[in-house]
Parts: sequence; structure tokens; C-alpha cells
Amino acid sequence: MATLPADVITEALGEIGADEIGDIDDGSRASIRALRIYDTTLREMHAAAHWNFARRQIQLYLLADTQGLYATETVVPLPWQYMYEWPTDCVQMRFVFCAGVTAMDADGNPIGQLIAPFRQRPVPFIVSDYLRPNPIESSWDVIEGHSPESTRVVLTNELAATAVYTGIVQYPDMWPPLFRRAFSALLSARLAMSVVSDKKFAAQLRDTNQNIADKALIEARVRDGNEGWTIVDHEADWITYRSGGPEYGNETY
Amino acid sequence: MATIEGIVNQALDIVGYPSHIGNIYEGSKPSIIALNLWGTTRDALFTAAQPVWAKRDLRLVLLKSAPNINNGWADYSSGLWDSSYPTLPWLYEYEYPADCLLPLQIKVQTNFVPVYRPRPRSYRVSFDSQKVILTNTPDAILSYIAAVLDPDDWYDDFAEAMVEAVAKKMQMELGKSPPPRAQQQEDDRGNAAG
Repeated sequence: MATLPADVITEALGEIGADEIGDIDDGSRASIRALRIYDTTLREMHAAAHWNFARRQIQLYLLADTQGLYATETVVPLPWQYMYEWPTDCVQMRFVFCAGVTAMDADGNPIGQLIAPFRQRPVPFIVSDYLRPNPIESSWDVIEGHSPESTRVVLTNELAATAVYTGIVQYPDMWPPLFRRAFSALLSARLAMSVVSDKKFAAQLRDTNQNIADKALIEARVRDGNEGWTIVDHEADWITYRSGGPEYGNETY
Repeated sequence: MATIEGIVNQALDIVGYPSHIGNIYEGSKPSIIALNLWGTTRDALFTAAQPVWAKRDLRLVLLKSAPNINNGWADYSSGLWDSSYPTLPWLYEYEYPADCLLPLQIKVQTNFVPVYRPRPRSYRVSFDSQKVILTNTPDAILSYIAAVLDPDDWYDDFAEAMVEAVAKKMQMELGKSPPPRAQQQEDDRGNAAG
């Protein structure tokens, strides 16, 4: 049986000596409190580092093109050329890179892209809120970065931009052990004051578990950094420019 | 097998009453007192203890809804609010379940279970000619503490707590009065003297 959010919450409650919950909707005081903070705390933890387990890479969905060649919308905030949709599962955008795309076909597939292996070259981008309303009947209410008034977008000058980002991983069995430990300790810290009746003791528990969470987070980051062959996902821009050849000479940014 | 009379009789033993009751409707003094306090004491204990075995889920009966609801938005632009709609700013008004002692949580039926992205649903208990539940959740399911009337369905620890609670309330009218302070001191002295 897969690990459920309720199991993680029970783990966190155990750390502060509180009774376990049956399920996250069982109506107990602990489950009601946990329900309020679970999703936001999980997102916060995802945003705390560039976790390997949450790394996702996709070609972004084009919303607008200033020249109107590949999209019907042509209004893009200056000085950018293309506007892309923020991925629905994205917690944090890490970087956008150039895949050498020269055009796109009618289905939006890239044409002329580089063949692997090639050197990943990050390109400038910015995450922005844009006054692009989402229909009321859409699922805007359950997708981060979408509201009836506006949409979170990615602006860049790269055609068929490929993004590397941190995606939300909802399934506890997908989390590395140290991430889970850090998340569980953070939940414990946040639940302590509302679940433990002795408020003085609860404050101590909160501080203790916050420290455990901080240390576990550092350990998890170190472990994550040591995983795999690559130390960092991309070169810093200033290194790229320093070592770049003529191919970068015509670029204006 | 736990019965109302069994619990009352245990309480009578605690307060030192010399006899038991045979039936809570028999009309004796302790049975009348027990009958008066039974329901409120039981419900108060359920509300305070919130035993897991007394939790129930019920799909609520819709009484009122806001006009022109579209994916969580109501459109009042065609008319002003009046009492045919739920209290503002809520979208739905549901009937309060008859056996509900304490509402705990509103649930929504999802297409798939288990749910890996749990989200809280807010609600408020209100009064609109009757007790009602206001929420923005369509087709709401309420988890609540229900009044479990038959003591035979209770867990033993709850029955024991009920005995204590009934005894505490009976103490005033049926319990042995403690001796006056002066008398008690004399008794103590007498006992000490041997």
C-alpha cells in the first residue's frame, strides 16, 4: 500500500507525542490543523532547494509570439519576444535553455533543434504575472499561478523554450528519505502549538522540531547535491559569457 | 451488557445512595433525577470526548444555494440578496443533521481516492429558522460526532466516564452529606484518641 499524506502527518504527530490520525479527513483536531498546512508546507519544502527528485524538464507551451508566426496572440511585455504558460505542476522555475530551435511546425513541435549531446546554454527569462484571464469554469482554483484575472507566465526570447523546473511531487513514496524527514519535522513544528495542549511545552517542541527540520534540510540538500554526476544544473551566465566563442557575439542581452 | 439503568446504578453506588433503580421511568426519586440529567450529560460528554466510534459521515441535504453558481462563483448581478439565498458570502446552505452533536469537517467527494493533495473546506454553523450549515462546497459530506443513544454501543471507557459524570451530578441531591466541619474535627480527635 502506498504511503499516504495521512501517514506522513501521523509520523509528524508522533514526533510531538500526539495521537495518530485515522485519515486526513477524520475530523480530529490534529487532522483539521494538518489539512490546513499540509499542501502549503509541502510546496514550501519543494521550493527550499533544487531537488533532483523533483526536477522536471519540458518544452513550454507557447501563449504569445510578438511576430504572430507561431501563436495568434502577439502582445508580449517588452522587451521579450515570447510568452509561455507556467507549467501547472511547477513550484519554482530553475532555468530555460536554448535547444537551437529555428522554427516550429503546425503542432508546435520544434524544428532544427540540436542533437544530443550538446552543451546546455541557459537563456534569459523572467517569471511574471500577466493580465490574461482564465475562464471561471476552468480549473484555475486548483492550479498554482492561475486566477480569473491573470496567469503566471514565463517570458523569454527563446523559440520553443525548454524549461527545467521543480515540479510538485505529491506522492510520499517518491520522496527521498531525508526530504521526508525534513518535511515531517517541519510539519511537527507547525502542528505543535495547535495540537499540544500545554502551550509552554508546545513552544519547546516547535523550536526543537524546527531545528531538526533545518538540519535535516541541510543534510537533504547535501545528499541531493552529491547525487549524480552534475554538481549544478547549469552554468552561471557570467561563466558562460567568459568561456563563450563567437556564437554569443551577436546576442544583445 | 451496558444499560442506562446499569450506569445510573453504578453512579448511585458512588454517591452512596442506599438503593438502585429498576427502570429509569419507574418514578422513584433517583430515576426522576437520572432521567432529567441523562440526555444532556451524555451529549456533553460526547461533545467533549469526541470518541472515534461516534463519528459519522452524512451527505448533507441542500436547503438553499446562491444564484448562478459557476465553478465556485455566484453571480448576484441580476438581483439583490434576500433570505431565499444562503447568508452571504456563502454559496450553499445545508440542513443540520438531526443526530449531529458536533460538526467536525466538510468533505467533498472526489473522483479518485486516495487523495494526495488534501485541501481544507471551510464551513460555519448558523441559524436560519433551524440549525444549518453554510459552506462553499457543493454536494458536501459532513463528518460529525453523533449522539449514540444505546449504551450497549459505547466503548467501556466512555461508559465509565458517563458513570462518573452522572455521579457527580447526583451527588448534590442524593449523595451522603459530608459531616459539618466542627463535627468532623471532633470525630477526628475521637479517632486519634482511640
